[in-house]
Amino acid sequence: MEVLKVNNLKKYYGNNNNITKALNNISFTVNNNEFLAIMGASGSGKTTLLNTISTIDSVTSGNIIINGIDITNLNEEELSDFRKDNLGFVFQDFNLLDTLTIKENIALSLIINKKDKNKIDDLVLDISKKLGISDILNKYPYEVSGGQKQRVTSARALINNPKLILADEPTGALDSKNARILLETFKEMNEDLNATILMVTHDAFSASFANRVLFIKDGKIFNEIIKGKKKREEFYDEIIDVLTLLGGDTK
Amino acid sequence: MLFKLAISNAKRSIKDYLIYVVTITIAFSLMFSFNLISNSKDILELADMMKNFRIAVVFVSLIVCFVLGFLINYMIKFIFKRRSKEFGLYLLLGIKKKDISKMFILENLILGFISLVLSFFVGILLSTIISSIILNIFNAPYLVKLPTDYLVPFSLSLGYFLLIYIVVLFLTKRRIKRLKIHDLLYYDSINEKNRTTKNKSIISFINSLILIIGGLFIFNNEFKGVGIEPDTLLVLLSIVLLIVGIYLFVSSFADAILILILKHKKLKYNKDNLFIIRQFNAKVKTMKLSLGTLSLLITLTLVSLTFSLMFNSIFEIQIDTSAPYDVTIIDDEENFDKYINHIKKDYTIEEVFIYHEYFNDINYINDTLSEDYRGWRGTDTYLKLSDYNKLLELKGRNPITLNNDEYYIHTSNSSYNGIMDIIDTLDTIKVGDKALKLKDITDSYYTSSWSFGNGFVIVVPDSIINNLKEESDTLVVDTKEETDEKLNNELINILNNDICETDPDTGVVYCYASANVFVKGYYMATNKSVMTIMDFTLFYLAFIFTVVTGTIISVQSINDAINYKKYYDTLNKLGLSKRKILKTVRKQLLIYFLFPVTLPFIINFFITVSLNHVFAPFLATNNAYLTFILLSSSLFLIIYLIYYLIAYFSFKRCLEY
Repeated sequence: MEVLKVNNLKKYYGNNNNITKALNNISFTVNNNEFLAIMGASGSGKTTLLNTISTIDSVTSGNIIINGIDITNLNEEELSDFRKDNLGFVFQDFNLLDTLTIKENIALSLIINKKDKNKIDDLVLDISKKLGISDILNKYPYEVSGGQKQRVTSARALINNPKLILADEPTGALDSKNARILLETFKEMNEDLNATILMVTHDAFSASFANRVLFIKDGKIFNEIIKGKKKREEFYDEIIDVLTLLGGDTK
Repeated sequence: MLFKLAISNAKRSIKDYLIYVVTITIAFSLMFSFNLISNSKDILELADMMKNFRIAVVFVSLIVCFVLGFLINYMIKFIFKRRSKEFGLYLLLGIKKKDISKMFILENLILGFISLVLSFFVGILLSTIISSIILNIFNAPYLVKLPTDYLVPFSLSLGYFLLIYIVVLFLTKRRIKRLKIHDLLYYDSINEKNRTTKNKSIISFINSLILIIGGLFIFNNEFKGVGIEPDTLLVLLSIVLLIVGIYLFVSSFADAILILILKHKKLKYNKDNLFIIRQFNAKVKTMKLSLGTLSLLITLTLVSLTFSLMFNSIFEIQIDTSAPYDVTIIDDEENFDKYINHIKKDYTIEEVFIYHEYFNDINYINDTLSEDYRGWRGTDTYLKLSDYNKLLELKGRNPITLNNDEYYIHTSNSSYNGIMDIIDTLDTIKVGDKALKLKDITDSYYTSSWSFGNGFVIVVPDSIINNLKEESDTLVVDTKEETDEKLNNELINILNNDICETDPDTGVVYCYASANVFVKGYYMATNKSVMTIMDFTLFYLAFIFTVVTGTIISVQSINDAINYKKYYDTLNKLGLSKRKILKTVRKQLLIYFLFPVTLPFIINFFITVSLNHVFAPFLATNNAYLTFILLSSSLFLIIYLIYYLIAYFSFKRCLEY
């Protein structure tokens, strides 16, 4: 079943004389329980793509259908509800709120949207156990490490069981050890918790944890590779090959 | 949860923006204390004129509301911008905009409310201090006591508070409503603009100078001297030119100076110039509108401070020129006993002095003096040297000496120029058959009651007084106690009974002789009221303007420390020692703080010079205005310096040096 369907998506910036085609007719789908990575060099349009799917940016034309709903037709109020029910976010520099404890940070959206109080505690404990952060729940964000923070963000993204988790360079601010732990967490979220993840990255190592990788260049889809039964290391080499072909960032 | 978040955010804001919270607390405290004082019976009953205090305070409070509204609006915008990512996150989590704006508004209301509640306590304390100062000015007995009537002042303060917050929070709500989630998440990437449009900014800069000079020129032209009525429209025009000029100057100066420095390699590569000027340029451009408003506020602060100092001095001199003695009465000598007996009832008389004014057959001065300077009397006023010296002595001045063939002129400031015009004809005068040479002429510490109907007196040696004719008699009484308004009214009644008559048919009062009463206490009370009202309200206003400016500039520079910490780290890595970086910071802050101040200082100087044309005759010396400029500037700078120091130390703390 498809969770996300992107149809002939276009996003243009600028005025009549000077148009930048950030997204130029992009179409693809993401199925349930898939872990998709989108790669591309800086300026290729990958963040714009993620922002349009996140409902942060509007589109010039085309459709984005998430869970059967075309989000390009929703108004601001409806989008807010839509995000709450369907989307989870893990962004590289979306900090946690300093004034709240880790527990409150994870539960923030539930609390503000007035879920049953007893249920909230159970949900938070449950998800934080799975992500290995149950012992820091009563600490404040400035008391925990960067890797832990990003796992807290992941927990926050997962807590209301969203249809789609959107991640923008989630390992960007982490060292390699913590990056690996986070990516393994993502994999577990995908395999054990059945989360559907769409991750934007320019890092081949991160992308190699996904099931499928889409490559974007100049606002268009350039290539697509599927992991299938391959080992992660083999998949990594394959990604590097495509990147070389792409002439982009091969970090 | 919304409430809990709001509270913890408010707590954090108090910590992060302590200067701001303290400033509005002080501002609200002053506002409340002025409401308390202007509604206090003790103060209002000090003098008849004091009733106007209440109106003046309401008027000034409204201006203060406006300025505080500006500050609070600015700070709310500022805090919102700094936390835009956080708000973006809320939106991303599916929290509705309505809830976010509710939370943010609640947060700011909590902050405001804390300040308001604190201000009630501080305000009561302040009001007792200010009351004691006012009572002291009026020499009234003072017991330390708390204000008694709270209802009116309290409601007024609450009203002003609500007025400010309703408007500001309404604006905030509208601003949030218009924001898109994308703008919030990427707010900091559209931070400071750095496009230099060379020619345009140089033209604007030159235009701004033209506007300011033009404005000052027109203003100066309208205030040429005493008695020349300024054209209201032209004065307004000059003010508009100055305001537009200030805004234009502030917005184009940074570019103009940048272009200048980039052109000159010597300046450009001298020490940290390049870094400082680039930072300064970016900063000024992003906040040029606010900086313009701040410059305007500072101009108002300085002008109102100078003005009130000037008026203070004028009033003091006024008392000295109109009524330096406790009681002065000009009437016929035979009536003086009546007055003395009346004064005796309530006062202890220390000294009674009676003297005569004389006139000569030839009027050397009044017949040649230009009409602008002539009094209504027609004849020249002569005083005996011994009388004159006695009058000086009573005023606490040193006596003068004259040879038998000399005479002396003492003139008021306003007649001085007129007499100097004809000074050539006054070299020698004849009194009877005796010729007298002019020894000297002075215009300082003149008293108008010396010569009834003229702006000058001619002092001649006692020996020739028989050659002159007696004109009028003056009684001077020195009392032990300070006189008051009541005595003045009673003495005027006695005088009017003598010389005036009421027409029984029409009820119109006719007076048949020119006589007058000057009681020091009356002038003191009137002048003190006007002075108190003006000083306290203008100082109040000036203080608020100063702290608002100080707060905004400090908060902005502390923000820079947080935002640009990495720049300073880079400078450090490039080989600049920490000590030198702190020097750079001090220089940078000095420029930030001085930039909105410099132009107001210049404008204040020229406006005061212009006003001095009108007021100089009433001031002790022609250069007294320089003292006022100096004093007002120092008063402003002292408070401003506190903010500079706070900003510097916060900056230092942020850089962790």
